[in-house]
Amino acid sequence: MEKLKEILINGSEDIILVRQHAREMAIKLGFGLADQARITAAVSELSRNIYLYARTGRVLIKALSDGNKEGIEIITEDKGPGIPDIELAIQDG
Amino acid sequence: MQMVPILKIGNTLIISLQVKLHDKIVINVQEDILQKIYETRAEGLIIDVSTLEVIDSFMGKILSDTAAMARIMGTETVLVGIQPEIAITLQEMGLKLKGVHTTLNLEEGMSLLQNMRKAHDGEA
Amino acid sequence: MQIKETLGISELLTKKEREILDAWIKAQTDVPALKKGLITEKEVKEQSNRFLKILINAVAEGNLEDITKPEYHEINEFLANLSVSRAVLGFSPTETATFIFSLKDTVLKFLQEEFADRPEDLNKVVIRFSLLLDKLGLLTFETYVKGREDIIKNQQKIMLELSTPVIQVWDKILIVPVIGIIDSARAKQIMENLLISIVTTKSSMVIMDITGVPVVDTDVANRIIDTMQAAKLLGAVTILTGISSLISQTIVHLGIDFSDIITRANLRDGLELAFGKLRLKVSTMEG
Repeated sequence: MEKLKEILINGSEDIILVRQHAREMAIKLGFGLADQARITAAVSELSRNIYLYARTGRVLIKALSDGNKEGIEIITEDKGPGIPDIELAIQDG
Repeated sequence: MQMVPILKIGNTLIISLQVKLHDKIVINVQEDILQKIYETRAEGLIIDVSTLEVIDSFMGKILSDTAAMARIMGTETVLVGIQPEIAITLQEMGLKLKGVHTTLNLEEGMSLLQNMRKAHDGEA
Repeated sequence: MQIKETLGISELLTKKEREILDAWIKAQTDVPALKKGLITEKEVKEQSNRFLKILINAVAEGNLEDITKPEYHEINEFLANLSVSRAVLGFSPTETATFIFSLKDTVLKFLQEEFADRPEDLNKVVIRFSLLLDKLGLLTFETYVKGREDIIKNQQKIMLELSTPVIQVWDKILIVPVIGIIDSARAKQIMENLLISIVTTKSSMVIMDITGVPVVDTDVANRIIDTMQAAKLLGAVTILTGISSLISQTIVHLGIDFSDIITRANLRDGLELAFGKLRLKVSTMEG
């Protein structure tokens, strides 16, 4: 399984792409339906922020594992006056 | 141009929002709906969101706005088919779908519209 | 000087082991816990016998101060196990610590006899032995408390895992009897269970009974409201029942807005309302 996915944000269509990849990753990591929805929603909001305020940027979706638990990490970056935004999401139980 | 088909059953318009809706398309859909309401003088609008995998702040706003705009034209809107996990997310994100009725499915939605119409006619 | 005192104690314990053991056991059998039948005399005898032997070994090394040293390792382990097992059996902390303190009393009496002709030495010996057994007694107490805490933690875990059932009482009517503390983890669980049930049973009425919820503060109230709002998104109306007078006062004092929430005093009334909203009524059969 691919552990890292990078999506460039250039337009609002890319938001959908990010959602898709985040959801796929979440499913592969074994997150339940409720958590899948949370992750997808969070990622959607984050990517939209990039698009609305910086026009372009990128989103990194990382799979995390410490042996016992699985997790997903979302990192958003934009070239605006902003700061790299790190969202460390829920951990799989 | 209609990207998403809008059905008419009696006095009610029914539209089913599919999965991959880009922001731009969503805005077009909103326009289509309102145009159709204008043309048909529909009393009710049902928006089926059962295949939406996420309702984020943008979509939430579109849905609330659409309902508000429809109401101004005399049409009541019912949102049907919100999935449980999406309901949880909406709740946790504090997204309020203002001015929108919600039911489990299409059948309930139609039923609700009927009841509202009856009550409304009672007053008039 | 030191060696002399230590030898005194160690010697005495070894020399009079039998008598000390008997006297000690007798002192323990006067204790209420035994009378309650929480433990048998046989078990007391066995435990005391073993402990005395281990104590004699530990003390023989000459160290009466530091119970963290290796020679006390066996004693520490023994006492830890004893405390935990007695905690589980339902002994009070004092009853458990009595194991040690009754030994102290017993041995002190023997020391008094033995050192009767050497009052200065008696003083020193008594102090040193007392200090040692006090330390062991405290150790017993501490392990007892820890044992109890572990039991409580375990029970809390079990309680959390018991998910709140969602019961379908009639077509389209669900009942959620909430019992116990609603912390955020539990609230999440209740919300998820309820929403899934609403979908699978196609219910449009939910009666949430909180008779069994002891405390309602702002957080709990908000969690309940959140759950009701999420249910609404699925087209289900929630009726809250079982609100005690105390809770209703708390809600108003906390300034929580309950004006949009449908409430009824009890489950029965809630059910009646739900039937009414579904245009159903209960009537007596004819004939």
